[in-house]
Amino acid sequence: MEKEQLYQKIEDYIQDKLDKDQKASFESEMNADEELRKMLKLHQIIHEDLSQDVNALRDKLKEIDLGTKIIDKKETKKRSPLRILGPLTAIAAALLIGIIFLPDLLNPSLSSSQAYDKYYQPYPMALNQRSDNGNVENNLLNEAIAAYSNGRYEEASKLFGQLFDQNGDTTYKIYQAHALLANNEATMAIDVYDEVLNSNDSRFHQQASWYKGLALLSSGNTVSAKEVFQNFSPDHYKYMEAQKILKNLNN
Amino acid sequence: MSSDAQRDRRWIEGIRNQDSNVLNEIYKNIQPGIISWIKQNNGNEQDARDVFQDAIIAIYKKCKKDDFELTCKFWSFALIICKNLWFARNRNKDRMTYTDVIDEDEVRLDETMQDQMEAYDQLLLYRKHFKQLPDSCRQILSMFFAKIKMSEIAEKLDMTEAYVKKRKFKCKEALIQNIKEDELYEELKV
Repeated sequence: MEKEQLYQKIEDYIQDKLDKDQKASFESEMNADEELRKMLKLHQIIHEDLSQDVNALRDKLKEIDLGTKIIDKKETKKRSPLRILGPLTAIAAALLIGIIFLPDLLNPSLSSSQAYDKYYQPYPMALNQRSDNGNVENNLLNEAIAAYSNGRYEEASKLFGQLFDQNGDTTYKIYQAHALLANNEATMAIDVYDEVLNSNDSRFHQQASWYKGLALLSSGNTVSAKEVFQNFSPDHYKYMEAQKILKNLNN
Repeated sequence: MSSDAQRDRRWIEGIRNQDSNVLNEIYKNIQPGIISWIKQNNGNEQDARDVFQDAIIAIYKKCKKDDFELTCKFWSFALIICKNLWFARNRNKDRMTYTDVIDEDEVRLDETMQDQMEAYDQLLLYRKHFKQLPDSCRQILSMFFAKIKMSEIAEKLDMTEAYVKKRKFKCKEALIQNIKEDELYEELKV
């Protein structure tokens, strides 16, 4: 059998498109042919791993995992000074801090810029460098990744903008917005997040809405930021954080 | 039913429905223990994070296929899956075990879970070679397996439908061929 026909038959079998007789004949062929069974298994794995629902789940898990990494880092930073001070000094320091900041602790309200400082973390670079092989787009992408990873956000925003103009992939658009926000260009970042939110590519909608809310906080637009956070559904990956911001944000 | 059992059942349901809040809860409660176990078994934190992600995906696939109900604690179930994935990743087949007693909780993986564990090295092999494909191939195959219509793929990529079909076959052929040429392929079980 020609390879193309064989692949088609395997795909049809996996997708249950063969009729009863074709299915029976293919299964008897498989029983007698170990290589064919191995091939089928491999195709099944590829089908399953690239299926839309598994991909969607993987994207969600990556986001959550990045979130837990950021929290771990923050907690390590918070804990380390007390460890150095030792338990008794730490208690004394905590008491002093408590006395100084008691009024704030009783009234947990935050200004928009305080909320932004508390919740904003530059989005981590999750793209991988590619081998260039003389490929212009890969070269540009590698430069953009390096600029973003090294905190050269102005350069990164321009490069990701160029990449988006070249192939229209929303991945580049969202990184352009993240780079603008990291470069304190909140107003421009909001426009780019809006473009992501208006695109049909829903992979980045949750991420864009969270960062758009933060960008609005950064630009002091509390009312619009609240509107953005109020629209988060309970399954939004930043729902809990948004609720905390809404609860503590000054009017 | 105890509150722990109710919570575990809610977690399984949450994985089945890809509920972000539940997934967040699972990550906060279970992932640190898995990271600690993998670090004790010669892995680093990133290995542990990757294995944990694959374990959640394995549970999701299981939930999707069967009318699955937990017969042990979620923690024990997650740990035995992660152990198996970790051993498979390290090709340490001797230590593969599908039943275990974890904190006095007897855990047994059924046949479909065992199949998933055994296919894990194939999955890793395929991922290795998929990553090495040219971007255009990865794009076409990803869209095809995500069940996007050929006409839509053609429109998105500014190609004719016939060309997309041809490319899809060529890309898949290259992927399969590269996997078959990998020295690990011969060792894989059917």
